[in-house]
Amino acid sequence: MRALWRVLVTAISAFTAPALAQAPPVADARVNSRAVPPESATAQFRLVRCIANNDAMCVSAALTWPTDTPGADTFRWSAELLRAPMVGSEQLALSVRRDAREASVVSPVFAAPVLPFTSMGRTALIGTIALRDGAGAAVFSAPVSWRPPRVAWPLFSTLADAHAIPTALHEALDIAAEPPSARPLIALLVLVSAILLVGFVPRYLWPASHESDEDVARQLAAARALLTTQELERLRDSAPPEATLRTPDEETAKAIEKPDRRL
Amino acid sequence: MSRSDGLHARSLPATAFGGLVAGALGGALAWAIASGWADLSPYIASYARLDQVMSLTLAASVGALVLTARARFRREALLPAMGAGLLLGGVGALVGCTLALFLPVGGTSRMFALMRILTWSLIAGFAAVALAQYARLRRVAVTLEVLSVGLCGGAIAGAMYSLPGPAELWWPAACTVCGAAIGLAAVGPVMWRAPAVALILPAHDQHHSFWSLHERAIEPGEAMHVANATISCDGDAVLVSPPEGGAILDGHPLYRPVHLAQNADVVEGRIRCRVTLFQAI
Repeated sequence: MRALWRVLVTAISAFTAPALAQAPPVADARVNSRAVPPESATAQFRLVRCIANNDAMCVSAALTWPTDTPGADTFRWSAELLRAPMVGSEQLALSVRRDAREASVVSPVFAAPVLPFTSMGRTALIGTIALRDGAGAAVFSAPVSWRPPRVAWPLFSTLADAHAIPTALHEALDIAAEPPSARPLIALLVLVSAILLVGFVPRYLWPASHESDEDVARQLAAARALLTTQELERLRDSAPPEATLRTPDEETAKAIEKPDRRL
Repeated sequence: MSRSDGLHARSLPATAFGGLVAGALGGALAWAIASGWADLSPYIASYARLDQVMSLTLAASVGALVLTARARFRREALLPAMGAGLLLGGVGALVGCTLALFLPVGGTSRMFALMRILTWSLIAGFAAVALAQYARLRRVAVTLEVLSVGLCGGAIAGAMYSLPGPAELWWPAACTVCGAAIGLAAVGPVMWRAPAVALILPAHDQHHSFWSLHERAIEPGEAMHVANATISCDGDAVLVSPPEGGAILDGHPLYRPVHLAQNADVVEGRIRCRVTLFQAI
């Protein structure tokens, strides 16, 4: 059984491999790394799901550089994203200061909400992410593209802590004003619809018969009685005609008139 | 009276209604399951794989509920039907989704929406055809109708998921519509393309509930027993064969097998059955 299962999985994997090869990874945006000044620093951007007051898709950036990097004290983080919904597009620029010393070894997650949860399944994201130094010059720039799954709801490999999103960003993006998740309401709607469809609709599509069992039995008896009468009539029709009464002087048999040749 | 005089207008067979409802519930169930997914990164490496898992979950849950409802309507064993629904629906949707993943993603938003609609359409179409195989489809025309209904329903679901506005609401709506389309396509054409459909009527003053519906398509070579009477399809004609004690056909006694020329009610013992001819034979 295990061998059969292994063969099945191998066959499915081989069949689906070409399709999967062109698909983007599940969570990370495609980032084309270029030279990052200072050259000893590395940066990584990821799209993550942030759990704050409401869900949202966020960008996390992790920047790592040696503590002795020249100019590190002046680094400030900023992210610029071009949000491109299905209809129209909107420029979204975020800029948040962080203390460079705080992130001098491995930065904490910097999360900037770019898409609200309610529109994650529909919206594609195309843009760039840039890190700028204290003077505003880009020290790192990378194109980012992301599209949601075709069938599923987007999932992300990383969950950002709610505290990772600065309060200023909440206020700037008016995240707190977004409506809460509608899932409980949708589940309730589905439940009520299911009860109506399963419990009540069949009653009206296929109404009850008003004939009782006694009515049916009476109908059956009447039908059988009718059948009996019909059959009797049919039997009477197929019976031979009834003979008429004979008189004493009537010949009882025609054979008498014929002579008996044996005599 | 001509043979077609007694044909009812094409009404929805109970099994088609059951497939529609069970499919919608299956779609909603798949949405509820997938809503609980938070972090599948250890198991799923890409959104394409996630789409495959989602489509498999959707069609498997739809298939399980639809074939279970169908088996209940036919008074057959439920567990084998449920297992077959899980397997057939899952495999059909997986094939459809994988084929759709070969389509280009598209650089523009409109192309992406179009590819998404095609993906939903293929998933529903293939899952419906796979599920309909459980009814042993014999006619190509019925198979094509199953595929058409599935493709159209899936396209509507995909378009719903791409609608502007709250995608959080459109996603469960799309799952439910897709499930309903798969369910209707899987069992509907088989019913309304059959020569006749026999529905057991409820007892006096008892209403039909979803669980009490008892219906069966009378296909060529198949028969349904109504107490001791038999309704079968003899060649291309529907035959009612009464037992020795006779039966009642539309209020008239029936002692010999007759070919039905119109819709009729058959009473045998305490069971009443409505036979609907869906095609003028």
